[in-house]
Amino acid sequence: MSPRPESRRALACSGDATGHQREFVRELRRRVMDDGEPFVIAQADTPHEIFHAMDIPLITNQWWAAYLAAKQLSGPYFEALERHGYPSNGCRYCTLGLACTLAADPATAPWGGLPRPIALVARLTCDCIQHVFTLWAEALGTDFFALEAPAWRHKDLQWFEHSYDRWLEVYEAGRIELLVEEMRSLIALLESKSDRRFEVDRLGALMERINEQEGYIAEAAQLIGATRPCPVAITDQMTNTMIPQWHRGSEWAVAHARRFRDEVIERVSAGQAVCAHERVRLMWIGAGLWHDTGLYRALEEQYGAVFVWSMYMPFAGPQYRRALQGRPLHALASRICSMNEVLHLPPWMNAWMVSEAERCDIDAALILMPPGNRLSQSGVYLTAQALESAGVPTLTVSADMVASAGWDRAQFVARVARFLASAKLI
Amino acid sequence: MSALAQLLAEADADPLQHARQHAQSGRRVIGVVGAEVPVELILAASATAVVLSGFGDEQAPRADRYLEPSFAPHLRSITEQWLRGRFDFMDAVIFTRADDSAQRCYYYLCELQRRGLALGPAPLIFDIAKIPRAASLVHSEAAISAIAAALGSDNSRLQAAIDARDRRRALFTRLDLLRRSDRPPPGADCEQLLRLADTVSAERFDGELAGWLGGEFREHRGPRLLLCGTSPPDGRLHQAVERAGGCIVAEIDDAGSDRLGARVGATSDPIAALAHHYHSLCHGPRGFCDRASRLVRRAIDWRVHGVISWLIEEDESSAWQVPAATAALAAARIPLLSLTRRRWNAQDGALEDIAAFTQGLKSP
Repeated sequence: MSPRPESRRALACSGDATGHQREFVRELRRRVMDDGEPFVIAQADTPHEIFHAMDIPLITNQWWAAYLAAKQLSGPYFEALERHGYPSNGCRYCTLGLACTLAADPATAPWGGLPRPIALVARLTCDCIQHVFTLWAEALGTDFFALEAPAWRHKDLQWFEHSYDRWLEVYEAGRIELLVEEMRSLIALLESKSDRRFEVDRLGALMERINEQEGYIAEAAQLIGATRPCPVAITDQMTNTMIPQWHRGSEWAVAHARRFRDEVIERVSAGQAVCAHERVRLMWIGAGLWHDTGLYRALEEQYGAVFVWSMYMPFAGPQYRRALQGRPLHALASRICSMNEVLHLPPWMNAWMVSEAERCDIDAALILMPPGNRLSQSGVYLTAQALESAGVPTLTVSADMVASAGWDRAQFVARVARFLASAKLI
Repeated sequence: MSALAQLLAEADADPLQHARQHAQSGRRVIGVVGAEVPVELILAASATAVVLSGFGDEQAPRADRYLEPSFAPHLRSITEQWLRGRFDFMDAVIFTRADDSAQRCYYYLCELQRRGLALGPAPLIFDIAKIPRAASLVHSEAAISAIAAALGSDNSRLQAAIDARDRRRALFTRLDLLRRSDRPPPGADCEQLLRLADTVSAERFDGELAGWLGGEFREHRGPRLLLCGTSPPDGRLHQAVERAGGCIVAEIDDAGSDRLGARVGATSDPIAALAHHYHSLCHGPRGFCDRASRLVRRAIDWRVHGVISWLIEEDESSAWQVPAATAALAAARIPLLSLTRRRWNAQDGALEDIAAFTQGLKSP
């Protein structure tokens, strides 16, 4: 007889992760603001490993946007963007940092606003990012280093099975070589604008530690997906994946991922559950709703509808782990060159989502479709149809990750409840 | 009606007519989506190139099933036509990667074909890399070679194909000069010929255009305008200006008469020359250039009295240029009508706004 599921209790390591992040932010602020160390602002889908290996402090644009949103600053900053003459239909997630800089209001900006980085780095995965980052670099008086997001013709539907050691084939040699060349130019730029030096052996060691870290996360993801009722809340999954991900390859991140994995094993063994009366297993497809993470809990408490899956955690295994094969820069390029594509383009997105829904015994899926953001909307309909064909009812959710205007949690919960009822799941 | 006008009127009524006729005669037809697709490679493959048109007033219920709301409406229209089987007679369609909606459509159509939900030609992607850096140029060269291989382009015919497109470039340069003069052809006529140039017989079009350019045009005494922003579906914006007594004498970006770029010329390495040409074109959302300066320079050189910046809701690229363009035009004392977040069919009062702006411009 299996043990009776206990009621929800946050993972002990979650508190440690947020504590570490708070300390990291303090340290980052000290390095960037007080000590004036050379630092970089980069998109999430850029080779952070280069900056880590060179010990160059990094501010990730999406993390900074979530940080600003959590401080309820998105409204005033988007108004500032409009005051500067930019139309209000721009993509919000990637532009909040620019808006903060243009607002030029040290009284409200965290840290009084960011100083001048040595570079801004972005992959050109949409039509607006090169313009946003060019403007931001101009406003900060620095260089914008753009990375191409080349086309991908080799369509391996089982990419997530083959990405670890067949990455040259899965991600295409030409695409990898292009990014390697770009990374070499980026390294040259960073070395020319700082006293930091790149050493390939240091990158190799970092990549090995990242493999270890992502391996623990992947193990935990397998366990969570295979366990009913779900042992770990989506917010704990996000916290214990994303925070170590920002610090990937650091000793802390590897140790934390191991501890998280161990705690998941303990919870599974003890039969602990997110929701003692789990009725429905849900998948949340898309970025987190950073301005209202409490919504996930609301659905659990009211309807026993538990979010078992969000992309961040199961993504760690297939998209981060790489057999180095003696070529750490190439292995890194294979990780970065399709990071966005596998999450937003058919067939990679839908093939993976359907496979994950099956693995995690998902009953229904919610897909985020942020208004006015083509990149984040991309692949939503085809994925929804693929999931429906696989027997997973799907609801498309129109909401923005960082802009809370117009968001009504109660209305949203009621809508999801109607959807679940119509699918005869509650 | 001139021979050119007759040719274009027929193409406007059915932009695929010429391509269909070629397919019926056994010739391969290759569709083109995006101003930066190297048509030279299609010509060197002894195939017929046809630029696919989007229609501003058609519903797209089939495309709406698969394309999310933020897709550019001309790509929605093209996808709808694809799903209705209008392109079934083509061998392939090349999408540019230098346009986000276009490159996403490539992936969507590949997937729809894989799932058996769409038929039609083979989708191909032209993987042009636009960052001004050696690695991107090398990648673009590989992209040119990949398309050449996919089409079976004959390397020995490439120079002739480049020469043919250079003749078109020279004609467009003549058109540009004519529009710059005091006797510019009507803007709506220019819009139509620029939009439909690659839907008709190239030889006939070039011949008729050369003749037309040698004709007489009336002196234009009303306001001269420049149109920038999103490419309109047809001549409706130009016609609104003309009804108000003005004339659009220049456009910027994909709809402009300089969109084919400078002459490529004779070369011992056509693949490298084409890669360099398309890599450095600064049109479209992915081009790297100072757009505000380019806009003002053109506005001054073409002696315009006002600029219309027309951006549709789905245009996520040009919107970021609005403040710089506004400031640059203000500094040059050139009046600007800035229309943002508009509908592609212009059925939202845009035509009335454009007419009022045109009428309000000071007479020269």
